[in-house]
Amino acid sequence: MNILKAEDISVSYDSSLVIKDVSLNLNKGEVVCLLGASGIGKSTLFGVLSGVHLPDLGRVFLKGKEITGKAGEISYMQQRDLLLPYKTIMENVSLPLIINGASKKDAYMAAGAYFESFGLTGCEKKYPNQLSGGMRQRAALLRTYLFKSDIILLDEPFSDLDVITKHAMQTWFLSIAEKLGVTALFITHDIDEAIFLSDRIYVMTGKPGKIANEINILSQKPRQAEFAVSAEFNAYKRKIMDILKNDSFFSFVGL
Amino acid sequence: MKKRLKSITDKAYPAIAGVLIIIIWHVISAAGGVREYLLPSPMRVLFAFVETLPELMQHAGTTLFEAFVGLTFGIMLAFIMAVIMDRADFFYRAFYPVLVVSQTIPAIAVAPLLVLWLGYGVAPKIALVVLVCFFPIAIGMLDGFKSIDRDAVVLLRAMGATSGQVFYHIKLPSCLGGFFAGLKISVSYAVVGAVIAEWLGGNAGLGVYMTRVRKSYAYDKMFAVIIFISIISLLLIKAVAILEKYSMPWKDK
Repeated sequence: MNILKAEDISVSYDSSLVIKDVSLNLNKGEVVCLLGASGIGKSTLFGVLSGVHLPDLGRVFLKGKEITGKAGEISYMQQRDLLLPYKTIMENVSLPLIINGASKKDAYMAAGAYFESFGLTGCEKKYPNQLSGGMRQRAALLRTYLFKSDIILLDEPFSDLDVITKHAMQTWFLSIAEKLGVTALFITHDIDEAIFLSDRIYVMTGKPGKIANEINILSQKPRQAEFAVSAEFNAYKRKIMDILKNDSFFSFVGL
Repeated sequence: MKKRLKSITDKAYPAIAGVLIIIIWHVISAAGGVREYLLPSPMRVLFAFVETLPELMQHAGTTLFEAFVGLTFGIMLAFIMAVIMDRADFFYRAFYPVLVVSQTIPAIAVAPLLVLWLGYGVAPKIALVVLVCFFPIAIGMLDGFKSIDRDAVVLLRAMGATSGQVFYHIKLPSCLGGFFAGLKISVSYAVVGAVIAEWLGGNAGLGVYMTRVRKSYAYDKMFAVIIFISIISLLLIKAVAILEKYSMPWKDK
């Protein structure tokens, strides 16, 4: 079933085109990555999908209903966890429920049910500054999931973490996405991360940014850490690097 | 352990300095360097303090009442001003400079006018306390409001939060730090403000008592009042610090 669909999105700032004719779709239960270099317009597209920015052209549909320019329909998470420092982890993650009118008791009950899956057991009464970076991102992800569970947009959520924590988070993310049946669009500039997590990858290139290619990652899920060093993995990586090599966006570095 | 040792030495240095100053004061008095009625010896001040303590306590009741009522109104006024200035940029631009300039007017110069307008009762005292208290709190809260995380506001908005919810979940907790920073200054201002207003007339209060002992040339008692006022201020600042710690449990964790 098609959950999210974007049709021919174009966005320009100050009369220069940032992204051009980008179309993508997500099916239920899929983890899809949008891969591209920094500055290619990934976050601009993300703004359009989440309804914060209005595109110049194109439309966005959520489960068949048009949501172009409407915020609050899709939950999203950024690189910065944006946990409120003066609220406990429980207060933070249950915030979207409370904002939407749930009582404190109901919200805590609903949120509490996920603490174990998200590896946050025992952190209910802690404050964000008492948690490690990985735990904070998991808490932020839980808050995002509790807001709207149909689909979540993730804008480089793990890019601030150290490499070892990042690998642990990626493996964990795959297992939780599988368990909860999450549909996720994941923005990243990390080729390895994109291959490891995705069912499909949209590779963005150029200036203005457009989708150069769509790659299906056929490796079975659940994936283990070994996948990241397999021949299959490297074959995908080579394919993506070849696509990026021909990118005019990087012509100035002589790649 | 090491941290604890450090905290002991940190407190020891000022204590040693304080004791040293008292010793020097005592030596000067004992050597007859200054006349006893001009600068009483530390021992005489201590005796006067013990002797007048019941009276001091009684007068402190009045002064503290004025200080607390004034402080309460001051906090309310500060809160309203900070919220208005934060919400309406016009008010911020128009009134912020006026408020800053108003703070250059010395309290002691305004006090006689307040007595003239409001009489010899508690009203002018409370009014002066409000005037000296509200500014540090208003500025502290306003700074807190202005320092909020814009991305967090966008996130809450995206979750469908109303502006009331944004205020409650982000703005209010963000201004607590500034509020307490202002309050720490304001509590000591409140006591001093009440005392200054009492100098100009009234029936009770530490300021009234101070003028009485000054007029009877009882300078040892005068020193006793000064020390008493200092102790009250210190206790109040400490109380605010405890309240702050209790209200902001995320700070020291």
